[in-house]
Amino acid sequence: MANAQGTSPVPLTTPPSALFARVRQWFSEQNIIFLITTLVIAYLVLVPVGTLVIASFRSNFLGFGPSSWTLNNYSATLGASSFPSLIGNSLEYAGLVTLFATVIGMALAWLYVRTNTPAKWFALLASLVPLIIPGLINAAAWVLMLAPNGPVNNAANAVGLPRIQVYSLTGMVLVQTLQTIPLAFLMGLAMMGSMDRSLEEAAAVSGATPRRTLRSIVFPLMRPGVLGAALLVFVLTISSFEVPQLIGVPAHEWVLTTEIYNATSQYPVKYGTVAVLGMVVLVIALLGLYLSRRLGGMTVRETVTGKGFRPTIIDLGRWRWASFGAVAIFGLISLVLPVCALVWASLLPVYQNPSGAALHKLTLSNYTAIFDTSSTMNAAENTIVIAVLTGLITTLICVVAAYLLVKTRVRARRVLEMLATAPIALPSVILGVSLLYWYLAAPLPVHLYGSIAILVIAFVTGALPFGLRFIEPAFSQISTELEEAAANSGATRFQVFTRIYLPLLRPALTAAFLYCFIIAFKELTSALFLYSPKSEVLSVSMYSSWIAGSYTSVCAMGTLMVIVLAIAVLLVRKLGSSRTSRTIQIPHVAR
Amino acid sequence: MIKVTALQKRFGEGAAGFTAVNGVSFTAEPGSFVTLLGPSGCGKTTTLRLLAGLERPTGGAIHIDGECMASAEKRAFVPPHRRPIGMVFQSYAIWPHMTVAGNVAFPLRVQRPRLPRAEVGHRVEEALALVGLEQLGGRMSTELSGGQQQRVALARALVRQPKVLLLDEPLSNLDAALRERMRDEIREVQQRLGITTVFVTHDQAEALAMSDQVIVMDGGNIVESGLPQEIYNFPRRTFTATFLGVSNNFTGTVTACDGQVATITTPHGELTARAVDAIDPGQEVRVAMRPDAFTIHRSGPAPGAWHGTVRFATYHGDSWLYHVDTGGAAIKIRAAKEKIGLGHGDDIYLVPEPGAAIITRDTEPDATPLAPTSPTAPKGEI
Repeated sequence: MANAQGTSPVPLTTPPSALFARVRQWFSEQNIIFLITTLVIAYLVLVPVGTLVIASFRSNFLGFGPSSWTLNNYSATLGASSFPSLIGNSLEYAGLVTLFATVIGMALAWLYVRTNTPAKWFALLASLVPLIIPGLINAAAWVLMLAPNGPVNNAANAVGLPRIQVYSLTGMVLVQTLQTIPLAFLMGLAMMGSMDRSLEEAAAVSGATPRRTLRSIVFPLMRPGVLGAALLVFVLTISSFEVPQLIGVPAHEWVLTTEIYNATSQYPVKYGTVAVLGMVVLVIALLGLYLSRRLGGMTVRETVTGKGFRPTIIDLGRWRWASFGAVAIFGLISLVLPVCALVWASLLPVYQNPSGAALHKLTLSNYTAIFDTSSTMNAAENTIVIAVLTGLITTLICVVAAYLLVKTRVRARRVLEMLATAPIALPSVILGVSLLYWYLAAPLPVHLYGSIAILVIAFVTGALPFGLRFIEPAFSQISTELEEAAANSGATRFQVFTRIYLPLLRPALTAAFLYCFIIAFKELTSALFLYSPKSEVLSVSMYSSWIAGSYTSVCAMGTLMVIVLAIAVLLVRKLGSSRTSRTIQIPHVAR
Repeated sequence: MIKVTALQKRFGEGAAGFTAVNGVSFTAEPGSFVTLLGPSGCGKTTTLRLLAGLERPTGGAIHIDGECMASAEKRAFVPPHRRPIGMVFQSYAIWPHMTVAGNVAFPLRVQRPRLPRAEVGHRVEEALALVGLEQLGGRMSTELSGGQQQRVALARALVRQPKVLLLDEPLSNLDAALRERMRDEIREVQQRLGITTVFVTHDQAEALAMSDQVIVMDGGNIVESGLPQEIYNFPRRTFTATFLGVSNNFTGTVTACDGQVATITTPHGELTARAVDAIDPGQEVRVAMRPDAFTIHRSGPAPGAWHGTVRFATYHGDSWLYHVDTGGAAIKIRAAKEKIGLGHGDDIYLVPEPGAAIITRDTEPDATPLAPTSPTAPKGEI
């Protein structure tokens, strides 16, 4: 935490008053705010990581009796006969999903950005809407569709195609790929949309054929960006939990995340083993993100020149109908089918495939049951409170952090940035496990275990990097001259912040709040470790119902959740964007 | 030689669409330097991109050395990579994943049949020497300064000896001093190679300095075209006069015209103009007057002088510019000598130089552009 202002050399014969002034300068408003923000974020981020590291090196952690430093956890866990197949399974699952999702997502992004595919907006819709569908619900919908006697297999049977066994590694890869394509698509969109098109045009006017241009210019330029995106997809997949738990576990296909959950739900809990497995996930995630950053940074720096021209749209001719087909199939699989399956199942007392006979059994009883069950209503209340708090707290922390990062010259601001973006490498499983350990073990004055607060802490930690990703670029787009002009007009720093920055940042703040709200609303993994009957949330209720076999009531809850989220998104966007047109333009003008 | 006939480019369809280039025709003589000059959005860059084949025309035709490059009527279109062109982009578009030599060699490497490796190396060296970068071939292109990137882009555009060189505002990203140097360098290289060049700019000084022929564009149309000195000295359109910095525009009534000189009464006073066409007395005309076409008198009243009050003065190194209120709108007067120390509120008398006013015509919507004067036409024939 160094001094913000460049201190002028102080003469040796410093009078005491000058020394006092120096100390006071050190404790400037800005440095104090920086210190507080850094401490808050450091607590959120370092506690889970530290707890995990310590737990992995302690014998008898959280147990009765003496505890000591040891490497036994590592030798026992990594040396277990089941470990090679566990890590092999995890890598195969994540590797295949990464490969398929990246290739398909990038191809769709290219069709979207660069071709005249008809109705391509459908691809964007089909990528954005799944953001509000909880992973558990999407997985549930696919399990119902791909069940041994489900509609997909019956259809496959009828036309003589091989049946799909959903409860298998193949099923896991299939469903997780479908869930991940939208992410790859959106990353591809950002990357391809910002590429300087004159680089391609220069190749064309140099005499290169379109194919040669693709091979010598476009692919080499995009390679770092695509690899970076692929690594990010890999990290997210290897730390994914819902699909492996719902689909993999019944098939006895274990991966790291499900093994961690399994180990914590058995008695006696092998805390050491869990921590070591967590360390393995953490190391893989950190490595992947480190490489992804280096690669991603390269593309952004070199191909984005900031000078955009009208996008060159490639006329696909007759092929655009093939391309339309690809987009339509993607939209169907990513959005239409899961939503239809969800709604259909939610209206049935017991699940059965769509048929004329089943139409007579349609009922709203699943929905009325939700409102009649007090524990579910309690969970709904908890969920809303937690999601709103998460959104507000994350946005608040991120806006202060972004201000310090972008608009001040505090020397240690890189530390703050590292801390605030680190949770990307902190899978929910690890957050859940380590916070559970910490709040069980730490001698804290306030007992947080089992309260709503612990869930908010976990969700805020996980949401920090995303919040920052929305707010930081928006901040750096606003010219510092606007702040200086306000200061010259006599505004204090606080006034500058509230009167200039906050109004200009409104769209970004809204987006950040919304995103964090949605994350918290949907989050299952860390909640599973941290909830108590008193602080149960909807995602946990749905998971319990699914385990108990009440598939259709899970679908009813899921449908309601998607509807509530959709309404929230529309409402908040309306509130936040009424002045968007004005605020968006200002940052562009004031470059 | 480039021949552009009734070229048209519409983006979008129906009412939502807009016409960027609306029936542009011109000819660039072999070895000449032609500049498309106009404000942003006038269609000059789109015209250049049509020449390069980066856009497909919706009307008209383009021929290079008699070969049809694009024709909407014949539904013919030669894609950019088969056109005999080299192009420099505004952002230079230097490929960041290649060295300087790699960038320059690329147009040769993609040629079929393949060129021998030694030939490629030789010609890359030659092209780099042409722009004074022979030392930097091995450098990564991301390590170059703006001026160096500019030179690499030029070398890359010239390396395969195209018939036509296209330049899209190549100087706009450089600072003032470098811009002037690169301007001279580009002109020098162009003259040395004798390559037909089309240059796009919004900067009138660049256009005047470099060109054999200037084509002024506005709203997707050619306003007028001609030798730089014709366009500058005797603009025939009000738009050209304004755009080239002839800053005084008046509306006046012709009181007499003897076929050579027209006398015109304006709200400021009377002046005389060279009459190009016969003008009937009583007709209302637009007149442009250069700031330096006045003599200033401290005391008057001289015969035919306009009375005015100085509002403020600005100093420009070689001259002073006075903003003078003559009762009508303000007019700008340039005084080459600084001996006249005028300031706010000073009363002065202005005598317009006889015959210095230029009668211009406003661009009528859908007007056929004034026939381009051939760059070889004798100077001053208007």
